[in-house]
Amino acid sequence: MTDVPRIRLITFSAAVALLLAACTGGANDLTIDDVWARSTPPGAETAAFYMHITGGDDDNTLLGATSPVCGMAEIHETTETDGTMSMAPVQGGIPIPAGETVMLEPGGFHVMCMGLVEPLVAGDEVLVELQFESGERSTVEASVTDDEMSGDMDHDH
Amino acid sequence: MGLRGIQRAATTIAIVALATACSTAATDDTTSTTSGVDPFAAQPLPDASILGTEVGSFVLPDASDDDTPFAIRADDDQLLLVYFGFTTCPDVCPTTLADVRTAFGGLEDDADMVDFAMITIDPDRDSGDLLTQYVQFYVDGAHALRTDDEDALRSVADAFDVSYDVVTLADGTIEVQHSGYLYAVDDAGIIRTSWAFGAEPEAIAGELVALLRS
Repeated sequence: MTDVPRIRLITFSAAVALLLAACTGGANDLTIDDVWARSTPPGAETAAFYMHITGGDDDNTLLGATSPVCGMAEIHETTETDGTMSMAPVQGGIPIPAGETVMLEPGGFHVMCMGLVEPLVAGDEVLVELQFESGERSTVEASVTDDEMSGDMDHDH
Repeated sequence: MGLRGIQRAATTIAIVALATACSTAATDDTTSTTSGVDPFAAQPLPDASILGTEVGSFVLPDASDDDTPFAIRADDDQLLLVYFGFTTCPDVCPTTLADVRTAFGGLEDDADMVDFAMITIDPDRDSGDLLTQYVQFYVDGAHALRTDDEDALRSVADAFDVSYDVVTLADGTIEVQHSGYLYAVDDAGIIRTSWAFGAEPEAIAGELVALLRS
């Protein structure tokens, strides 16, 4: 065996191990996808991250988030009452029931980013770390887009 | 390809495999159900009571034009879209403003016939320059309406039946509540239609074209 294939094999094995750990290992195999944020105007101090989180074998709760582009991030919810929109931190976090998909979407749950360090530019990928009640921490990449992430958004908004 | 390159390539392949495995797992999970709040499930209907209301007599300084007084009415035979918001709004305002941008794209040749104005409900934090660059990020040439005169702002908002509240909490957090509607005003300064948060950009563009033709 020459050096190069061995390195490739080792790297690949490590990645497969990572895959198994990420996708099938542990009691809390949460799945997080469609992570995105809208591009922000110059000078904007806030942004929002949206995503779909599918619970694993056990019930879990999204408690908090951090991101290098945010001075502070919180789990928020926008609610509407007779046309008036209000936004507030979600007390106790967002429940992620086992096997269910919870959507963080415009006008509802979102990760609010305050003290935005720099504008989010379409095409960028931004890291967001999510903290769950189970102790699990997941780092995901948010795609920055001008418009809502296309694809499987169920309301094609 | 150097060693690093090979490692990178192998890692990339593995990550693609990982991503595929993860998403497949999610897709195959037939017990998966959808929960959470669907913000578009129960939208309030646009407030019909304000349609026909005259707002053209209200004038606010346009920060995008050296605070030149701006009457809330469209140019002749045109339409003016009006939105009440604030720049530190992370979710609702950017969503609506991006929808407005998309709607303008859908107007094609009629885009020149529609103007856009955002009125800040949080003038303490929204400077004229900030508001201008904010709103013009979404719509070229949009007007940034801002006044320090609380009574003037409140009377304009009342005319649109817009409610807003900027509250500083004990911990210093500022919470803002506001009506999430978008309005179309004609050249006589009359509110012709409005859209609730979450209205489809295509629907907005379609209604604007219909109003322009009427």
